Amino acid sequence: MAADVFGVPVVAMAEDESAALGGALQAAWCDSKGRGSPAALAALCSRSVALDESTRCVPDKANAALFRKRQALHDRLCSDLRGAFEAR
Amino acid sequence: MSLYIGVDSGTQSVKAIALDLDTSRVVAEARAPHQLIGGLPPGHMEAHPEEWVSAMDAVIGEVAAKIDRSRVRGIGVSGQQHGFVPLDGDGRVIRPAKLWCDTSTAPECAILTRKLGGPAAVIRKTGLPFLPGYTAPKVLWLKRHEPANFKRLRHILLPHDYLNFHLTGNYFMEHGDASGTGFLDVRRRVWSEAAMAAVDARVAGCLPPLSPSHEPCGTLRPEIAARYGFPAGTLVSAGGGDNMMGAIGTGNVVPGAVTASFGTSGTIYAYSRKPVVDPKGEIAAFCSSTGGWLPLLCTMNVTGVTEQVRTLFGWSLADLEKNAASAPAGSDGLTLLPYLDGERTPNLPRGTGVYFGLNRTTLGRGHLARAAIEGTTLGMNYGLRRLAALGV
Repeated sequence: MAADVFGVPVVAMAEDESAALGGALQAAWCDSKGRGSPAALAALCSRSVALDESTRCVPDKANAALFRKRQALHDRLCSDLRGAFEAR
Repeated sequence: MSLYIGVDSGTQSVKAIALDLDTSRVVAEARAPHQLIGGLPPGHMEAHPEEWVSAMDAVIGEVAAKIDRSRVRGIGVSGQQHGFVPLDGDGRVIRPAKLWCDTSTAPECAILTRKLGGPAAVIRKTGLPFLPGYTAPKVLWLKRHEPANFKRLRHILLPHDYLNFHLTGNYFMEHGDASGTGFLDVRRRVWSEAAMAAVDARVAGCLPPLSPSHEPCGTLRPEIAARYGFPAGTLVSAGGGDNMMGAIGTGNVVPGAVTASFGTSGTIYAYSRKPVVDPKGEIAAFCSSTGGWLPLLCTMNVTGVTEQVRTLFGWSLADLEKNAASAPAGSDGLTLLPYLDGERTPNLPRGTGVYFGLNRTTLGRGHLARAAIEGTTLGMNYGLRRLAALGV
């Protein structure tokens, strides 16, 4: 469903705790620089950050078209209702 | 050969993991709750920074017990963005931290915006509008509401900076989390004289010097290293805000991918090599904690909305999924504007939820549930479209 709404492929991460993993990777990056053998952060990430490929979804054409229309309706409702929200 | 510890201190809990760099595997994890302060007036959201410290100590200790501690080489700390930790001259916490979700500072935002010459001038000078969640209006709030506390203020730190301070004894800020203060000129990555002066002449002396995010904050204080059982000299990296560190942990450190994080609030962001400033101020022009920028959009109504639908019908998570799946994609035309908490992007602070498209078919549990899930996702997509419109 997210892929249909966003209109792009969507995949979940293998590790839920992305921010904590990011902390460990930044520490490894920083340490490699301090030791005089700097590693590229992108290389560290591509080794240690995994996608859960079983969750990969690509947009369904018909549904993606449907949600583009739905998004246009949201935009219209937002602008039409702005005055009503503020007057409430 | 080397293990690195990652910590993420959030609004209500802290997580720690240990990454074995040789096998590229997470080999230990731990989690512990910490409390928000209860009983405050509406809009006030505060926590005691000491609680974050003891919860962090507990989870690092738990992770340490599961690994070969002698192999630990470094620690990196992620923290909730924007919170204001006020310290006195001895590094003691003066009062609880006001958090990112504290909205009591709307009047201070109006004052600061006026002082800088209006919304467009603020974006010209700092790259970001003053929002109630950001740090700068919280500092002005302290000055206006608690002058005795403000008088004692000597150091301004963000939540993750305070944890770094606990670990190393150093007052330190890196560009990523600093870009959420409202004090940073995000284009040039220097403190904005105008923004600091608008709060008080003393602010410039209270903010730490800025460091690039690849610089270490320092090394573990010896007594803490001994307590954890980690080697002397264990490094503490710069760390960063949770979204900045989430970018690293999802590999979003080069252009091309977008990270979407579905939580109580939702964020959607992407790495950029250049600053991305939104003239409308909808996309937050943050810096990354990796030497680049991290344009980001935050929406307020995501899992809180679907959770409320779930509890309304007395469902388990599986029930929610099953019922939502009983309605077709697009919910037969039913949709939800999900603004139960008002909304910040699009900017509708007085907004409410609106179900649109009710009829004999769609007024049913499955349709209401599906429309809520679709509506919150459409809310996140607002940000994705805005990023694309800005060329990200």
